[in-house]
Amino acid sequence: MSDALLEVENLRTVFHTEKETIRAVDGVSFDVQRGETVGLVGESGSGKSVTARSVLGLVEEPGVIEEGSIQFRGDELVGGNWEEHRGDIAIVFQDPMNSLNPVYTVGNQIKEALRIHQGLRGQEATDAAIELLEDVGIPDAARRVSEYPHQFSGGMRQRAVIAIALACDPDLLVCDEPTTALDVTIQAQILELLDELQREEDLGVLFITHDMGVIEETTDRVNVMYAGEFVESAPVDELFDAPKHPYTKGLLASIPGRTAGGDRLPTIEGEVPTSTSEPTECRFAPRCPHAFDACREVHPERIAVGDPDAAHEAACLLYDDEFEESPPEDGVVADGGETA
Amino acid sequence: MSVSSSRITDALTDGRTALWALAGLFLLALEFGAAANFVVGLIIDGLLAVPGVDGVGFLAAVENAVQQIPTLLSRETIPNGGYYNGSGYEGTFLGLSPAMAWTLRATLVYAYAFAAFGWGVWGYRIYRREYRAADWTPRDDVFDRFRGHKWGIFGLVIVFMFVTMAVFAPALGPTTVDQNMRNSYGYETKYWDSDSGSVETVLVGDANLGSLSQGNDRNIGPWTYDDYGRFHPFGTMQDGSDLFTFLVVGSRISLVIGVLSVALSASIAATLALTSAYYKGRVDLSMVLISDAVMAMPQLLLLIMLTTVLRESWINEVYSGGFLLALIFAFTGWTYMWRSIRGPALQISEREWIDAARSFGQRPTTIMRKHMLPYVTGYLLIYGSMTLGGAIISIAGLSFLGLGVAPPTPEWGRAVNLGQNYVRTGSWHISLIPGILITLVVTGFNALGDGIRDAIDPQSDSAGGETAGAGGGA
Amino acid sequence: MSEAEPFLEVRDLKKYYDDGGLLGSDPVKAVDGVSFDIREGETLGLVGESGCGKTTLGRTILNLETATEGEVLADDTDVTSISGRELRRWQSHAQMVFQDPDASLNDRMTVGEIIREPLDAHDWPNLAVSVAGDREVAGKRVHRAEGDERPDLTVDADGSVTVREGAPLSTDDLTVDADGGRIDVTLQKHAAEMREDRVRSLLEQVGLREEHFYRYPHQFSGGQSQRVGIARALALEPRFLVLDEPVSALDVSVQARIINLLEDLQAELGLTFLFIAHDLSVVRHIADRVAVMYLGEVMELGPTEQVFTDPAHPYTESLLSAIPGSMVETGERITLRGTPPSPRDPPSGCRFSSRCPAKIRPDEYSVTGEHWEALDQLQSVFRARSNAEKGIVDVVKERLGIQDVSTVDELLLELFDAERDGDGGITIDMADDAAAVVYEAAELARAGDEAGAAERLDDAFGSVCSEEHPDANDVGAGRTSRCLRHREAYEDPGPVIEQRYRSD
Repeated sequence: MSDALLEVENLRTVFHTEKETIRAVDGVSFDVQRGETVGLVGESGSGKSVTARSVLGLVEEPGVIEEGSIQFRGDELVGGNWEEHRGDIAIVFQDPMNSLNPVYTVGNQIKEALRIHQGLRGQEATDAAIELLEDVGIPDAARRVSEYPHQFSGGMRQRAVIAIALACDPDLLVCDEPTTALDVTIQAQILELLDELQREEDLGVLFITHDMGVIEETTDRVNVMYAGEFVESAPVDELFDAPKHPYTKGLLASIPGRTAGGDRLPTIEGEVPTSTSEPTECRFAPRCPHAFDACREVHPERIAVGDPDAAHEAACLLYDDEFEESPPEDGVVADGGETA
Repeated sequence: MSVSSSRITDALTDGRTALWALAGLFLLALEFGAAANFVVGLIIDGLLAVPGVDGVGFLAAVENAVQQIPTLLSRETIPNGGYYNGSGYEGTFLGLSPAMAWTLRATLVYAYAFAAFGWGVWGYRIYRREYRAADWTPRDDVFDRFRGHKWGIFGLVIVFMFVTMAVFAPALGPTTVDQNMRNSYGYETKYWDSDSGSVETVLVGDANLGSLSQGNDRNIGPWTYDDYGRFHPFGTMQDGSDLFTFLVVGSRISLVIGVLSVALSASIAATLALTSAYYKGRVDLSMVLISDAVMAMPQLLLLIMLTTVLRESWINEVYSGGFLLALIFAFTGWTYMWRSIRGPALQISEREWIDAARSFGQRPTTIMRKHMLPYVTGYLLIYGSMTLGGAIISIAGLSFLGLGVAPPTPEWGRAVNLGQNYVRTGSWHISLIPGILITLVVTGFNALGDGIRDAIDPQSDSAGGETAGAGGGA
Repeated sequence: MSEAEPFLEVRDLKKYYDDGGLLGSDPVKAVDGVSFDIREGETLGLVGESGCGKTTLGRTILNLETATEGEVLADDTDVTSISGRELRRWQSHAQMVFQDPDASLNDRMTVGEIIREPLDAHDWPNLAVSVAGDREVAGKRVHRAEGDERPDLTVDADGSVTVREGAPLSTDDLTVDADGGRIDVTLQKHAAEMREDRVRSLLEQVGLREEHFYRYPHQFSGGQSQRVGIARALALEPRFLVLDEPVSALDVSVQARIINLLEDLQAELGLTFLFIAHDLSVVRHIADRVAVMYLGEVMELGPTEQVFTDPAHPYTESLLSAIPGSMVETGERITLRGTPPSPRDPPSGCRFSSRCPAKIRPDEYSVTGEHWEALDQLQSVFRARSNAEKGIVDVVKERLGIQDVSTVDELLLELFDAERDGDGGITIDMADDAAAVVYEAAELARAGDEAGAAERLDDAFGSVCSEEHPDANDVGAGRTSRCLRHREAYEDPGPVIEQRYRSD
């Protein structure tokens, strides 16, 4: 789709360390349209943060984008063209205390962004900063604009970070675990705020998190990431109603509280691998309760699964017609058991 | 982890370890006499120091027996005596010139020292590979990092050579302090008188009078023989005594005082810092006040005052006042180290494992020792090694001023003092060589401290190599 | 739930932090009057948001913090006021599992050493021997069982010895000489060896392997490190564990394994858990009963499923509705406004009154729902301003009357959707009597008296919620809820919330 805001194709980001090369992102493709929120979910070691940083051009030594294309509004970013689009892609990181400079007032930091990206100065900039703080729901904005980050609470800091992001007048907002460090009620406020802002400004949002509940709440489409690859992509309702990939199923089943307590939680055995070699097999196979022989020899490609009207894809040989194994019935998840 | 006897026998039957043990025995045998001598001497000194003990009885006999044991690196085995009779060397070691003999001995000393060090590293390697239960400890990373640190290695080499010099001083010097300086009229030396064509005997003291280095007229420079056939690697001093001997024995004093004062400082600083970091609050506040008070005292004035007041006391007897100096340095200088490690100690005390230890009832002293001290040790080493350099310079400075170690005990600073009038003359060596040595040694200690600091860098502790990728772990 | 005597009784526990500032500022009331029971063998969940005091509560129970007031009774002993040997005994019965394994494990020590440390600190083993009759017990590592101490060995009148089931040793390890009036017990194994064996068995129990004994914590993944922390907590065979967010720092799949492990261990060893978490879904799974804390007080307490499906307290309801996703079936989300007030200056009356969606409103004024919320917010802002540290410049400006008053106007404009008049004043679209109060308060704020402004608003619009401090009411089926609405005179919170937020 040429009118996609962000189109990523076959992205591969690797880290060359002394001992080995780590393929943190290994052939990932997705796109983000205007006005939609695309989620990227995975556990630690899945590569989702590295994906976000690759899109933002923030990958540093010893990491490098080896292959693939990232197109923003049709312009190719890989190869160093991020500078031109700095204001169009804005970032919200996890820990606001790290994103805000403690020695400058919040207003100052917003005004800096306004100056760089919108050319505002002086009183104009101050007014715009106050308005932005109001937009993100900080009460008493006129006074708060001259306060320092440490005088803000956690939730307010995150709002301030969002205000700075908005000051760039972006088209695409990349949020890397923006609410993970916040309390649940504050998280609810921030998610509501992001939703509102997206509607008002018609933003495209790439939302990265490990919290399935947040994904369910906030996103329109979801990509599930494992060991540097996408194992499943679907509209959010579809994913939660009928997950197809064994990893997704395992992940959803191991979340406590989805049902009344008491039963043993189903678990996924093993640990997330660090990928150092080319994908010639399914990386989830060692942990998959439904793995069969071919899984260790053939690399599964993305195949359409589930509801044919929804754009639901999964990279699993169980759904590949070439192989005889058929997927288990929906809703059945094997119990992985304990491990050392 | 218990080591049962079966493990020892296992160890000994392993080829590599047995080889290592043999090498160790070999090295020990070479110097066994000196080692035994040292130990016995220490015991005797210790006994004599106890008030009321006058004689040591059978230990004196033991001492005599031990002194008979030949050791490789002693002046007896490779003497640098003998003379040149105009056509060849007589009475020298293997027919070599005394200079060569001395060089040989000195080289052997250093070779032995480095061999011993190498042996130690080899043993550590074997232990690490074969016998240690854990396949990795945090110290491994520190050692590995240090190994690649050139400046630190340079510092280590300098410091090691300095320590070797101090340890092997009696063997390194062409002569001894006793013979050459302290009791020079009680010994005789033989020399070849080219005038008379025969071997003459002269008192050492008189020989010294004939070998003065006092400017351009009369000078025995570095690496020359004096008129009495004696070899002087660094030349003679203004009173004719051998400079090299003076310096190597002086290094002992510097090292001992330095190490003693730094170790004492570090102990005081560490104890106080850990206590104030653990208890915080009022304890911390009072520590700060005390240390501020101590820091406000002028160290030099205090030093002068105390050395004068305590001149007659028994403390001043120990090591010619060196011990007293070390104590004063320690008790006035601990504040610097305390200040430096208080920060890290406070940081450590905030860590959760301290809480965890408190929660299962661990005693405060044990918590401080087990959970806080290891993290502070690194800083202690760093600041300690730098302070050591500073201590050496201070002592030298004091001796230069005439305040430090009392003559005739040699000390580097005094050498600089004694030679200061002759710096612009042919006898420049009296001041300059000690000066260069001081600079070199202090730089060495600082370099070592740098190396340790970089090696201990807490942020890069890892076992399998933390990599920057793999998802960033959020 | 059995009605047996509770294992632990917390009575009106308070913990205040006085930062000892020279000017005697208000103390931080981290825990302000908490009472509940914990029954043996149950898991009591303790949830709340950051700053509510749940971690402080856990730590105070274990005597890591000294309680300011109140008591914690275990077997009729107040464990907050004991010390010395008694304290050590309590510490061997009650242990803590910390949140972040990286922070709570000393990474200069091997795993084996870490787990062994509690054993070393208590000079384990020291067995309790229970004997029939009056005979003395002698031996290096034994003592006579006192009171209702659980005996490790029982020596009968005929001299036969039984070792407690589950004790970390067997009869082969002992020799008991029961002749004469004295019982001599000698341990065959060396204490160090016994400790090592114990560590190895603990490693196995938590699912780690032998070779992990010699590893260092950061060589492990998060889940494995947490297992080490759990093993350490179990070393002294405690009966009670306080788990402070033990799975928050872990990935979802790892979290599931640790939760399973904890449940297994609880069943196997008969442990009682106080499970502190901010993640409600985890608590729902593992806890039998749950206590919801806000700003130092327990707002609601009851069996987990009931609290989750039919919350009694407005805060619980807001908390549950804030959970993203479809985990909990609640109505439409109630988004709480603003941030929790500072624990230094909690609201008078009910702590939750400044944000409560079901706050009792005074009848005199007829104000729209939105404006009620705006009034709450205005009052919060004024309170926050009065507490904020003012720079010297601002103070001087105030005194001289030249401070920037436009911020107050901005505030009114923003909160009430008001508009500016032709003459620069502000008119709020509200009933006159209510609006008059707001204008008065605004005047006070402009003059620099924000505390006074907040008070003025409180006087007028405050209701019983900001005057009276609610007690913990019994709302049936063993549940309590601290809300004034449970009184006869007022409607219950549930229907009020329905009506205000979910009916239009």
